[in-house]
Amino acid sequence: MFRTKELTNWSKDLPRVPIKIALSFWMYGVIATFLVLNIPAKFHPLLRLLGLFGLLQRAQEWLLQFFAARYLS
Amino acid sequence: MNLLLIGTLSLVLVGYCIACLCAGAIVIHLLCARASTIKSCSAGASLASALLLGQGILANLWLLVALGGWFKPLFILGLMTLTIVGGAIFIWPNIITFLRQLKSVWSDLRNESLAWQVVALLAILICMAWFTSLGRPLMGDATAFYMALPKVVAAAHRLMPLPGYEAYTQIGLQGEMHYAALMALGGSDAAQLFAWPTIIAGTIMLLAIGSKVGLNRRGQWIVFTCVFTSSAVIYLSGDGKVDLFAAALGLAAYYWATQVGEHRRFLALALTGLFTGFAIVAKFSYIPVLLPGIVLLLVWKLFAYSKDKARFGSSLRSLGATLFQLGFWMLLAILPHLIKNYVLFDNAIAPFSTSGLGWAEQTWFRPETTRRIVLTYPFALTFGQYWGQYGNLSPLVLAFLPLAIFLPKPKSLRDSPLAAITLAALAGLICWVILRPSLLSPRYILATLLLFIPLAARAAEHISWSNPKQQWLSGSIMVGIIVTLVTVGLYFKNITFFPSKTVRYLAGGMSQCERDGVYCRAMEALNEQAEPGARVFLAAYYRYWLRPDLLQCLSGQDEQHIMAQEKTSEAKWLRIHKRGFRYLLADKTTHSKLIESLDTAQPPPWLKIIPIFEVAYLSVYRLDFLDPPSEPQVECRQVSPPAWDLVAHQ
Repeated sequence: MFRTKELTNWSKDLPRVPIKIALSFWMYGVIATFLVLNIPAKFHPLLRLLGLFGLLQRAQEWLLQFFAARYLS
Repeated sequence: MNLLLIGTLSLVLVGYCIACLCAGAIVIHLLCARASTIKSCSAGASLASALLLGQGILANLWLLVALGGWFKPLFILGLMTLTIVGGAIFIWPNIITFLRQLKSVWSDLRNESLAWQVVALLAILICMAWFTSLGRPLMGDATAFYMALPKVVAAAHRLMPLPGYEAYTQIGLQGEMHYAALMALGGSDAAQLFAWPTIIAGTIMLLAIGSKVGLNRRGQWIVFTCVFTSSAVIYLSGDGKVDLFAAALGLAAYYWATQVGEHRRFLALALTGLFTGFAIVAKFSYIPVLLPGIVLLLVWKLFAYSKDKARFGSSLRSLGATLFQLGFWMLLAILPHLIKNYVLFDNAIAPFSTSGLGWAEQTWFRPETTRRIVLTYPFALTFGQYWGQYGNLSPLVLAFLPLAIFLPKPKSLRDSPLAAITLAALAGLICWVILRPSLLSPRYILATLLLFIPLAARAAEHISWSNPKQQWLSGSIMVGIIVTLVTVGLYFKNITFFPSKTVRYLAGGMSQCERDGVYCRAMEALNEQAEPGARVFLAAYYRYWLRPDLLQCLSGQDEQHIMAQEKTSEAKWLRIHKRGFRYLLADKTTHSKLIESLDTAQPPPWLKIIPIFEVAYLSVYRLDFLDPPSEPQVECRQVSPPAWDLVAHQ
């Protein structure tokens, strides 16, 4: 069923640097959101000060509107 | 230190795990293969398979034994001893090989960079922290049903519907029967911790799947980390619920489905069917999620073998035979559950054949909220905090999944085990979202969700091995893993992990009620006052701490329903008297309507209500009937000791 085949790197022609930057932002974004939701409440004012809460909420609202406009209209 | 407590806990937990391991090994041996000679299957996967298979078989055995009323500690101990004696010979060579495998993991780790060593250390620490869930207060659903039913089974030596949850007893009792056996051997603490070895075995099955899709050591550490940083897994540590049994059995089913056709086809198919059946019984929600994935893996194999069109017809016939065999083994695994429901409820396939599925037909949210959940599914799974969700998938899975675009692509997708596994997970998840869009609860479909981890881990591992120019991306992966591990460890301290309380509890410096809180204290007060077989009207959900005789004589669903229909306070009190109740336990936060309608401040003249325990929201009353207008109709008596039954009053 699962035989090993010679592999080809299909992504070698992709513009690697922009994609890598985007992926790094994605990873840090996910981990930062996780931190915001899970670190003790006493650190929340600090995160608000850094604008992370507002940024994440806006990103979430934008995503919702984007999907709703695209698939539900 | 309370050496008796520690000794009993260790002996019962370790002894029971060994019994499961040996029971599984015996059955694998009977299925035409020695456990020690399962080729192309690592020692870890063999041991984990044996442990989980043994769990499934023993749970079913206990179920039938309890139905017959022979669930006695000596019988359980004798059967465990026989199992250990009979199975040790098959399992011993695997244990030796597994120890060698662990040694090899250790030596590989020593050659890794410091960062990976830190990752491994933190992941192991979080896994080990599960032991400190012993200090976690028991509360919620476990004290209403999942731990209460086993307590009754262990004390009564038989299985009967739990008063107040008669209809709910129709569910599969995989986890509950283990708890009952452990409690019968005096290990209620061992029961609380039994999900721990179970999820470790489940994780080993996932690691074996990872190994099959090409993961090396680093990838396997990422898999391990992803499992133990998923709050949907951690919340179930020591809380007495049974979802992790289904998750581990489901992962074993997926693993063996990938083995079908490679070697010992009969054994692989039998194990796939048995594990699928056990997982479905352990959690009904796995029916629409696990089955499509398992069938897809088997169909995938058909396509992999039928490149030659001439062979397509024979492959189709072979698939038919395969699915027939799968169905046979699944039915075998489910049969004891069907017998249980037939004997207790006169309906083998309850609750599915009843008009309107009742509790099994659930919708949690309004359409707007449901639409929001469906539109944001991967985010809702990772960050959602919806009612009843009870945990998320590790953020590392969502963070690493997009890295898959850098994975080398196989020439043909149908030759890729990674694609097969991921599509099986996707098929299950899509079925779930279509059938139950409103139920966002990872524990309902945990095995399928965890099956997404190998793809994320494979992608992250691939980046971590890439050339020096990509080091900043692999550095981000490392930072993400370590930050997540540290955050999870700190966050769950004093939520699920209680190191200092566990030490105090084991040292004898903390009683069960000091650990579990006000409900335990209320029921302890009731236990001290109530005479054997006294009936308690329970206007509350939680009950675990009551004495076993009181648990068996509690108010049932019908009695509560009839009570609610009575119009006046006096009529309700008269009904309570006629049904032989002598105590009332009332939770004002959950049963306020009933308590208000009883009007405890102004009882009828023939009733005296004496409070024996009162805090803000919880009250326990003794009911003294002075000169009631009628005699009680029922009472609770030991007709066939040690069980208690409701009989006509004499």
